[in-house]
Amino acid sequence: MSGAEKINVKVTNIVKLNDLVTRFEFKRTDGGLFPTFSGGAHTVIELKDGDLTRRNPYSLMSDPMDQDGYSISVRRDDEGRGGSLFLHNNIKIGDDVVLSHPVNLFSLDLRAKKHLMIAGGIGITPFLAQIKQLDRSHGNWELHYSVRNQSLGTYVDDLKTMHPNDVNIYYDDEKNFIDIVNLLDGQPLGTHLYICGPKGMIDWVVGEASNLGWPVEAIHYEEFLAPQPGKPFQVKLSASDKVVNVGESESLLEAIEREGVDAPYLCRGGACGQCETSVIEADGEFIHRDHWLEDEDKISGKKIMPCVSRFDGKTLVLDR
Amino acid sequence: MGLQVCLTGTEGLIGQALRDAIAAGIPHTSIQTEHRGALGRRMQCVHCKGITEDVILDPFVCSHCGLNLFVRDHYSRRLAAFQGVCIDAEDPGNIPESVELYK
Amino acid sequence: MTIQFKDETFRNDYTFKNSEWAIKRFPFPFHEDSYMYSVNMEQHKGGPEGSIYEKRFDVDEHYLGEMRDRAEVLIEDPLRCQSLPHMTLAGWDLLELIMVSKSEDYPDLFELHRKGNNWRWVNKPMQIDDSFTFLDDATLPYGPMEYITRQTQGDFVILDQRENNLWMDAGMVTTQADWSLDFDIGMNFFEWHAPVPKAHEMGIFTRALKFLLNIQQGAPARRLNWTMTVNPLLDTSPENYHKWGVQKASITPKNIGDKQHLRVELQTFFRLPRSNALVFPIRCYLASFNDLMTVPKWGRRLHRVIRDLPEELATYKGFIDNRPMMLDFLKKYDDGKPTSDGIWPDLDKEPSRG
Repeated sequence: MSGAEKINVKVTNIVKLNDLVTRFEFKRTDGGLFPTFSGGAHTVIELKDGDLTRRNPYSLMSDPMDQDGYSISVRRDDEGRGGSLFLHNNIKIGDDVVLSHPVNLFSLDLRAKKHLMIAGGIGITPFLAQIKQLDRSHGNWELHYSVRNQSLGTYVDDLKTMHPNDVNIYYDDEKNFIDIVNLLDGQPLGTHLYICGPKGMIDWVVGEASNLGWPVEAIHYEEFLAPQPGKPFQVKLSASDKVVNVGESESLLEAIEREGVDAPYLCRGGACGQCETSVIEADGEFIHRDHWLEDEDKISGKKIMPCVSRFDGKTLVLDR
Repeated sequence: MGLQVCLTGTEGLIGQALRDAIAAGIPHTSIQTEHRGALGRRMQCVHCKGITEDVILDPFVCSHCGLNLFVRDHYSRRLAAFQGVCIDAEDPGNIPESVELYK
Repeated sequence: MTIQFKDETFRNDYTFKNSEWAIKRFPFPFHEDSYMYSVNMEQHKGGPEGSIYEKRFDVDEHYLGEMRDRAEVLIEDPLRCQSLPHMTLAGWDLLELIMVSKSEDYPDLFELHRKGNNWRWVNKPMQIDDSFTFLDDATLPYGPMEYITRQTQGDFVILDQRENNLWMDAGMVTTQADWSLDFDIGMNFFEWHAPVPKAHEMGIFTRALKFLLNIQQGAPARRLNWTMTVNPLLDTSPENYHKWGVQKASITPKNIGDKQHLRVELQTFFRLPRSNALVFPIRCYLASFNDLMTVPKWGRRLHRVIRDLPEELATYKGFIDNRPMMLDFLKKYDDGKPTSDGIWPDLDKEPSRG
């Protein structure tokens, strides 16, 4: 079974928040209630772009208790593969799209005595849902949110108005950066650290936390790896008896799906392991871009994560 | 956070300290343990829930309810004890000779 | 069909009996003539009409008897129901799941009325009519998990999902096959499975864990597990083992048909939405050997499975001592004929007698 269960929805509102970020709101087409979810969950939106079916994951930013509607906020990526651009330029109010049931790969540790949140740019979205959830249960949280400048500070005003004491904003253009070492040093026992933002920020914060002796189990992060484009290559799907040409700006998983082969997936971002595929034969180099496989698996050349990884060589035969 | 804890002592003492440290919010991966001293096990009787300390024989007698218990390798970090289960439940009175653990 | 709820006991005088209806729908766990561990999961999305798989939470004729037995176990030993502090939200998730499922699947037995967070739950068989505020512990007589599981057949374990592992952080466990919630609570997937022989070497647990970690909302799964019990005793807990253990030796060739029971667990797995926890209901079905022999295919197959089961497994499942006596009884029902694939009785495939 590929992906989580699907829900048919209509776009009910589109709000342009700033030059880069737009919010999309949805209601079910059958008029029913949405499933509740836990803060940090994401949904995979399915969009028809001509012959192409686009599937992109976005964090649910709406209140988890709100079963009347779901919302996501999308940052326009002019250099990407076009998913966010398609949303920004082509989707209109009233359009029918498909959302997956919520999937949470970035959940709160409910045992935590304090939740310390570090957000960078569009990485603010999962925290919006988590904050609403924690406020309801009187949880202890603190947010440090880094944005490029005031005009691109998505939801900064809302957050500062509602939570003046728990929200700290940092503006890159004012050379205002999170003093992570001081922030982490001296946090009370039982604090859990959550990071969502660009890869560089995550690597930096995780590194500093580890240096200060924070154990892995108290550090949580989510980074949606968008599949990077790359040289086209050919792959043989042994179980389906098909030969597939993977184009420059489609992922291996997308190419497999395009050929009508039902491959398992969940997060589509190299993190959850669901799309792991066995390699039957390979003559060339693997370009592993996932967070899932162990180093020895990557070196062995016996496994690949088609949602984000690629291949460069003469032959690749997969068990699909 | 970032605090590293090191525990040394008997197994039973380490187990209890570990449990309390975790309850205070110290993640288990931040705690190092090193066994020192007597080899006896801290055992919980699954029937009466009583704890018998420093057990070195298998089977042994529960210091609370008097049942004869065999020593299981099943360990609970929360209770900081191994599990003791009645040895002669199916054949009352048939209790094998005790052997020393760790011999 | 209206279910006739029985008034029966699962201890002391053991008045438990299966009706013909109950026997026909019994989840015979063997789909072939031998048995070995497997992950054997499938989607929990309905099943043949009238089968135990059809509804999300199956209700049968033993409902009231089982709930009364549970209440008695809890009076004697309240530690059979525990919930670590961070699991209360998951308890509410479970309450919602069961109330919604049962009111939809059995509308003449259960009703759920909701106005925002003001809920009213009607359980007709148990004569319960309670109004409460969803998510407000103070408005229920027990914590949410305890409240709803006192009204639902089967044991329940709620697993917190963290660090790529599952942690047994809450449960209502009164019908278990010999493990202790009080001892195991707080353990992770590998720790609580430590006593199971052979399975670790087979990598079964690593694969099973990966599958369970990826169970999503709206897509529950299920599998069967089995063991043997002497007498229709639900509470085969280690806590009371010193009291019931001796019953194993009370089997004789004369009474084995009546007293020896095959105990099958229907295990289901649901992702809980607000807490992201995983709930693991373990529903226990009992059938005596006499019950099972009324289905010829099962008679043949059970003999073969028990005869060829590795000693380690028969020991772990606790019936190694009684195996010879079981085989003496069962071989009378094995005429050597071939058995059809699958678990269903297939009575229409039996050659006519005479």
